[in-house]
Amino acid sequence: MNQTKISLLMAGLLTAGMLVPSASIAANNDSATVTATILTAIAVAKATDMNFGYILPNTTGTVTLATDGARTASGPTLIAGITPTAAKFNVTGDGTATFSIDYTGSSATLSDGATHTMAIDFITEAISGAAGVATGKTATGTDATTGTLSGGAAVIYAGGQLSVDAAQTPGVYTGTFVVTVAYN
Amino acid sequence: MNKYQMKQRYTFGLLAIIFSIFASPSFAATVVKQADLAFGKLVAGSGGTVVIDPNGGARSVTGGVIAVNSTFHPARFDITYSALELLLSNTTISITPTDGNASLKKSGAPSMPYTNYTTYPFPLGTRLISSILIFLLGGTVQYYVGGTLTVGGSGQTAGDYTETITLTATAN
Amino acid sequence: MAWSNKIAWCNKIAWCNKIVWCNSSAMLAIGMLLYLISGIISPVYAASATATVSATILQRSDVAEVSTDVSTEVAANSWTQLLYSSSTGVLTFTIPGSGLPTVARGNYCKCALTGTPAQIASLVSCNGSNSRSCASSVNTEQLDKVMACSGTDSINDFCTCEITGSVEQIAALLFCNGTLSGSKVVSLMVTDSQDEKNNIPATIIAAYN
Repeated sequence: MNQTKISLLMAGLLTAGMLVPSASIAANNDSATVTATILTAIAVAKATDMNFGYILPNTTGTVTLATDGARTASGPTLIAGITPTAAKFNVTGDGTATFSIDYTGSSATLSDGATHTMAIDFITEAISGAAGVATGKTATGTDATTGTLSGGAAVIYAGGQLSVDAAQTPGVYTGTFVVTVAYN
Repeated sequence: MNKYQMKQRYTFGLLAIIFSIFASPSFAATVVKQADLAFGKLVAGSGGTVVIDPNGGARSVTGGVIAVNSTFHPARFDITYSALELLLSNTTISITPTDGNASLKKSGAPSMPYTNYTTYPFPLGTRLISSILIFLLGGTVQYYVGGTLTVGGSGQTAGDYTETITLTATAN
Repeated sequence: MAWSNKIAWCNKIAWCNKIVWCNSSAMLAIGMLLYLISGIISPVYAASATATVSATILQRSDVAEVSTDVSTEVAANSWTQLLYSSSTGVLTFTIPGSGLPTVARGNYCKCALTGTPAQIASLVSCNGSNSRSCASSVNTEQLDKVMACSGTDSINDFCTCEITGSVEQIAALLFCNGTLSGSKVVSLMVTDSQDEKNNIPATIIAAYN
């Protein structure tokens, strides 16, 4: 081969050498997004206290206050004069998050401040949404332990079943109902 | 041309080819992101830190931050090499912004620093050829990136915060 | 994790296989353990609220003018209307005696209707027809106690009595062998079933709120 051809061959190989790697174009870098979502802290506020109203002991039995405030009795006599009310709590938080509900700290009995008590078994339910309506639940032993927010809000309703003795000492009996919520 | 001159020419050509291979910018490994870095849903509480472990993907919190049940994972980049690239180059992995300069931002809210980059299976900045011998056969390594997010207290406004990191394989 | 699975030959090499990160199961277990631990030790941020719960137990003297759901006056021979209504309520009625009222309104008083248990039983065992022997679900023993006057009050003294029960039960009590005279007065006759000569009359005035 003469020198010209050799030079051309070298030039060709050089060009090819430069082209070959660049034929497989792929980036030596790429990006990723880093994200975190901060949720609105969950909060709960009491809207309505629980009141069983006037009760006339007649026969030993129970008075049931449903979650919608409807009152029924088996044994004692219900007397008008005070509007019975179920407890109501408004829960606020983030979007459609779920939350746990705990009732630790709630009274097991109502007391008249002296030595007289009445046992109470609470009836609870959690309804999603800011305008959640109580269903009138009367079943005890199935307390709501979780809830779901809708539009960042939910409502917890609570009634209860009160045990009244035929000889229950007259007076105003009180207790407390505690609701604790947390994201779960 | 005598034999000596021919050898010169061939050597020159061969060197030119080798040089061009060296000089090609695409000689470095290729990087493709496969997963973003997500710290997930958090309640700021009284503030604290959130750590994503790239080795396993676990999330842990310190201080008053609450980790809420949600999706979280380290970032993952697939880094592909050829054996030739590995043997002949000095390739290192780096992230921008550099450690200490990244923060997750949301318009109108205080930003949350993202620091203490952690990676798996090998640290940033190490020469790949000196790190793990398995690359001798080339292939793709799944490279995970985690780190620490610092969350403020009650002033940390609710919402979505983002940052972008770029992982680069540099041949030098 | 997954990346080590890709380097399959790693598992086949003794020294490589022993390195912990080659074992994807171990990594998964460690990852899960770390996640669980982080869940246990992370502080819980919860919100609480408290409501008061109250109930008022009344004594009988508190119950004044107890209302009844039966708003319509019971006309003569309208016992079925009263008897088969679904309302419940408390009827307050007085048993007039020969003297002035000795028991103030509102005080609980039990008044007696004299008669043998059989007579009392026949008084309450009514199903609404104008017949003496009727069936009722009222517990006669209980009613007997309720109707027994306490203290020195006797049937001849003015006494306000209160009986709680369903309208049906009260109607059964008031109706038996009686006729409704006017709208609010009921005459109640308790007779010995065996000897009609031993009538013991008692007048019961039923007042409706």
